[in-house]
Amino acid sequence: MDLYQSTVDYLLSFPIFDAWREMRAILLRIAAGHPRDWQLPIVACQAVGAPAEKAIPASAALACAQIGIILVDDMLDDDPRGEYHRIGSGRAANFALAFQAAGLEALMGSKANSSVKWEALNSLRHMMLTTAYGQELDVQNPGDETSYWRVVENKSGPFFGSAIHLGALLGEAPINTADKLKKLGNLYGEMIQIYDDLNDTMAVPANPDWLQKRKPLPILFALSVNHSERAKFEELYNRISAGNALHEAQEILIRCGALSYCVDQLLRRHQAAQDILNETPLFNRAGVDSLLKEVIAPVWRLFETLGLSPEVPSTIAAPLNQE
Amino acid sequence: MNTMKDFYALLSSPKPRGSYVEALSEITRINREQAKTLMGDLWWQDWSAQEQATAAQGM
Repeated sequence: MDLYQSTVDYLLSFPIFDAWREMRAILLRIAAGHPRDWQLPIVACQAVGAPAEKAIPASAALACAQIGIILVDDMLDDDPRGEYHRIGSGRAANFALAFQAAGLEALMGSKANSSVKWEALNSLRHMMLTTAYGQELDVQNPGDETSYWRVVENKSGPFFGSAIHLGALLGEAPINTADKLKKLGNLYGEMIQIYDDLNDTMAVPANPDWLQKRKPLPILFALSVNHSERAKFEELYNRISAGNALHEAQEILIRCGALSYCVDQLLRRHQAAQDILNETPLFNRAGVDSLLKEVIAPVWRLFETLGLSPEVPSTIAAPLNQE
Repeated sequence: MNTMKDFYALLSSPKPRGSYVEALSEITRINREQAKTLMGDLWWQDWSAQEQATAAQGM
């Protein structure tokens, strides 16, 4: 089964995509990029012992929700790649509304029984509402650790939690199993956010996060912790476009422990997700296992380049629930 | 919540050989090139980049 073709075919069976050709064009354009997130409901569905086909309405719902979220996110972030540059903010917002509703329609159209459908709709509703709240918190540019993690818990975790949850629900998993997989998905999403922050911080030339004086995790660490180069870092942060400032600031991030802290947070979440997986009875856990292995792989690769055994970090990182 | 300051205190204190914290402290000595190893595989940004590419091709 071609997941992307099946997801697109399923969505195109709804009349709105015939009537509204530009909405159809956006969907086709995004699907052509084979977004990997769309696989998550399939992985969860297969993990609970159901065939992949059962999760197609979940993938379709997730795809629509994601398109809606990013149409808005690009406007909130002034992202130069955003669709709103081409069609204007008002129309982009209207497309976002349409895709959100199409996501609900995708679940309504599934062949699942009404109780499964209700649970799935509730999961999608909760994710969309929480993500919107997280986006609003994010635009306030959180300046301390508590606020930062509140944004991550609302903006980044729920999307991935719901992606996995929807697949498990449509696969008719017991509610308890689906809930555990959702928690695992939330942790997975938080890890994706930490990587995203690392990338935004270490990219060359300076990412908009630097230019807009935002505080992704490594920068927040360097501005919050009382390390010996903090004053210098603040000075560079305030003139990041000048000369060698980005280069110097990135080197301070490494030396002050900001990247080490991010790795610690990645390992803790990975360990917590692995613990959930180990205690969740699944028909086939290989797909979920692979997801967790892939998401921590960059950390293992770094440890390998440093000649460190992955066993040290993997055995000693305390899971989040023990803090 | 104070995990950053707690972590920094741990990183700044003597570290038992072969410990978890010692492994993490090794990261403070990497260079910017090695740091790229941590960039990961950014699923979240995949489609936006793809969208830009296809838009540029006039699709």
